[in-house]
Amino acid sequence: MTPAGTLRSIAPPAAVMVALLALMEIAKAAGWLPITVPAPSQVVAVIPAQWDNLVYHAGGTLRSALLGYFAAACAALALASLALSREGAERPILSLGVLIDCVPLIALAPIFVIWIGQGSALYITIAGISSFFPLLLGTVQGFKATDRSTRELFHVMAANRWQRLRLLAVPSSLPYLFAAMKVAAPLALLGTLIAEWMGAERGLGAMILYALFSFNVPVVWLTIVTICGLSAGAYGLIALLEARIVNWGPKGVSGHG
Amino acid sequence: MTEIAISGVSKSFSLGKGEIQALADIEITFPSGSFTALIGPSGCGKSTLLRLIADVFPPTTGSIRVGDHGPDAARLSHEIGFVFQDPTLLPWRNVVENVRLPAEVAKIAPRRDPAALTTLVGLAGFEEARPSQLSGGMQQRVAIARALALDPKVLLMDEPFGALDEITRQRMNMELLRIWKESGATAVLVTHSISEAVFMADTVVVLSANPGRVSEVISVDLPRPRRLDLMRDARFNSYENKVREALFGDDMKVPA
Ligand SMILES: Nc1ncnc2c1ncn2[C@@H]1O[C@H](COP(=O)(O)OP(=O)(O)O)[C@@H](O)[C@H]1O
Ligand SMILES: [Mg+2]
Repeated sequence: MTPAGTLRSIAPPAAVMVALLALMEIAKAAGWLPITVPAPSQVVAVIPAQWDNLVYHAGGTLRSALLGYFAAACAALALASLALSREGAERPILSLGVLIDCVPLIALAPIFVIWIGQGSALYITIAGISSFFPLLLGTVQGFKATDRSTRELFHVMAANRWQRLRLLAVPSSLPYLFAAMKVAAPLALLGTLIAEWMGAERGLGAMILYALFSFNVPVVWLTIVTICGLSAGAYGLIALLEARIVNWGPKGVSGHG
Repeated sequence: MTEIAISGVSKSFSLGKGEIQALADIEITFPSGSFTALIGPSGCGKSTLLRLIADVFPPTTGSIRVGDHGPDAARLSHEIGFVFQDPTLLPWRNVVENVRLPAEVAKIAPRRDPAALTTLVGLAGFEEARPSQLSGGMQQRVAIARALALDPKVLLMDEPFGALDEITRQRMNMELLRIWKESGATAVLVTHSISEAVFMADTVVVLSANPGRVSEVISVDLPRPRRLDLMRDARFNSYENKVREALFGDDMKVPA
């Protein structure tokens, strides 16, 4: 995208955000908002005092989310390979993924506390579980994204396994992988947060709990905004990477004649 | 010299519990450097026959020779060029990179210069274009250039212009004949069009369905290079009628 194009695509949502914030500021000043909702300026005002605290907790959350996400991606890759290498393995493996995805994490988290106790192992596990299914689905779909004639073309060209993987399967799977990675990144953060609520000492989940107990409303909101920012940032970063790498446009876009 | 000899070939696919016989008792010889058209109703096994020659799968019974060896050896020594019904280009590669693909896979220098091939199929100036920026006809030309990249002794084409309009198709066929003549390859073209079969080929092999069998082999004794005005020739029409007769048989006399 050109700089002008980037501006054009970012400007409208940014304008809406600014307008919304201004509206909130006015509403708060007029006394229309409950005590649990601060004015945006109040949230901004606590940033200098909270900065070190925020960086410390955000760092913990990011680390757990990232490790969980990475572990989930590895598991998805391994299971997707297994699903497609054995006849009839795809359905049971995907069903397992659906099952894991259907169990409410908020109910599962306490059980995991009993199993593996408090600490980063817990946060990483929950982060992994919450981002696992989209990654699995995307990887399986991605690995199946080649059509029969193209596979036959590679056969007729006498391509070996490694060439098929490198020249065909991996590039074909990229659009699916990126779609899955974008969806899964915010889920990993959310999972970490839920795990941290089970009683962490470090992490944005812990920070929000401390702030709630001391009824420090602006800090609660500062944490919420930070989480949203991290989620959007992760999504945006992956989208940026995708635009860089998957730059060939959808297949079959062309007309005939 | 690359003659393709098919003798006593049948091919069955397992389909659920049962079996489907796609081809039965196929006996055809494609002379070295000849141009043969395969024509027949949908599902009569035309694509299956091409895939057998290209060693995509082995025949159930019978044997196939490509030149001095079996289809597997021919495929492994990159003697076979295949043009599929859809272009099957890699969308992340530009035109020249797609044309270069077979050489890259074979880990040998292209036997024909990819840029020159791109020009040969009429795509000079589009070397850097991505497939998504090309029309269907242009994409199919890239697929033809790619099939020629290793100067194959055998050129197999499965309805390569099936998706194109009549006018583009006619133009592409003229180019294809020119390219084939120059390459000296043994060419087999699958087509649905009677006039295309007669116009292109030295021999038209008519197949019938259920299971696929050769119902007639028609030699087309028309001069080369072929020109479009040949289509107005009475001899051309009589060949077309022969093919039509072979395809429809007694149905020709049944009123609609
Ligand atoms: N890989 C396959 N597995 C099972 N059946 C197949 C396969 N390929 C072709 N067939 C069957 O073989 C028959 C001939 O198919 P095909 O060669 O594609 O016909 P055509 O190209 O003449 O339309 C059809 O009935 C088709 O369903
Ligand atoms: Mg076919």
